[in-house]
Amino acid sequence: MLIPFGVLAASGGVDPSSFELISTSLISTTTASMTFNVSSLSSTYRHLQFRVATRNAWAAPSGTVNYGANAVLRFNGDSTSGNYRSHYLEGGATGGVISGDYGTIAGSFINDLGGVWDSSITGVYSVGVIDILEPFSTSRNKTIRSSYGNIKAGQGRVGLNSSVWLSTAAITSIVFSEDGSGGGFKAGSRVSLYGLKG
Amino acid sequence: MPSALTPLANYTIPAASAFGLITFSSIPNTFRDLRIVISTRQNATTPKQATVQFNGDASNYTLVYADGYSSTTTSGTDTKIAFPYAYTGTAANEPIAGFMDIFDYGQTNKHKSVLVRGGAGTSVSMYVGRWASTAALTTIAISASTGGSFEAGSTFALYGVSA
Repeated sequence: MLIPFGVLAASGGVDPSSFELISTSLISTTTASMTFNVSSLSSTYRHLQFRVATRNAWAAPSGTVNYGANAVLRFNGDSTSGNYRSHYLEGGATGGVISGDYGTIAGSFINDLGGVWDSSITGVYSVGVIDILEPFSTSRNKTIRSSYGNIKAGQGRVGLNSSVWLSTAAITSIVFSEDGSGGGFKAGSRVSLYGLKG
Repeated sequence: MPSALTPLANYTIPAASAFGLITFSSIPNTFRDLRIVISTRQNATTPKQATVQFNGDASNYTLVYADGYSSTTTSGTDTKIAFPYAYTGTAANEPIAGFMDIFDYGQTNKHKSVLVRGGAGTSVSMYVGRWASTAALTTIAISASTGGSFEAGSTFALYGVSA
């Protein structure tokens, strides 16, 4: 059955007006991090979402099997490791399904979204969706939920991440960075921020 | 501010009908990402996937999957992009529900990467896939298993996510 563009079924409607693009950062030169000032969004949106495609400017370290750099999100400039906790559930080309706890790292720590290494095939990127739930609440700690993955030649993994920022402060700024592996986000990477009303 | 999520096409297989192939065509290159949302059952008694192809390309795909069925987990690779299993052997009126995000689908300097999440009453799955092509994506074909078809009531929806 060929569905022409624009045809809508009789049943089921969608009101998508609650999901809005705030900004898209298109990386043109290698950069270690991006800062998003979100304090002005608190009266408009209930949740925030990042959608990303990233590549790291550094070639992979030799002798190791790894997928890429990791991403770290820090809120309101808080770099206290004890204020964050991150967990993951992953499946890979090899190794089965695994889960774990990153312990206390100074930021919401998400595998792979710092970008595939630049030794990967040209055109390959890590991709992910990061949801920050109720970032402007002043009565709740902040929950960050992510879906991510990448596939390189012979390697790849897909995963879910859940993180918490142990603070009831409204988020005013978000620094999105790679975890310091040394490369930085390569040109071609992009990070898009969306707001969800509710 | 305009909506960042635009419905592009939406189809429900009518009663007393069954189709083995659903195709979204002439997809405009005016968004950043695409999202496909499905809710399907196939006329099969064993688990079957719904396979996805882009621009009519039958090869050049890689998938990494991770599935959980009751107390069993499994992961590995495949050479096709797909939605998780859907089969008549599940409880009546239990479709597989899933969605696929296609990132930078119109960019001609990137392969096309997808994230898939889906599940039914007895399973949950997550996939990452890649179509090794830098061509802008214009057509998406969703196929039932070989010789099979999507049952009446199955739904398919395509959305554009703004750049």
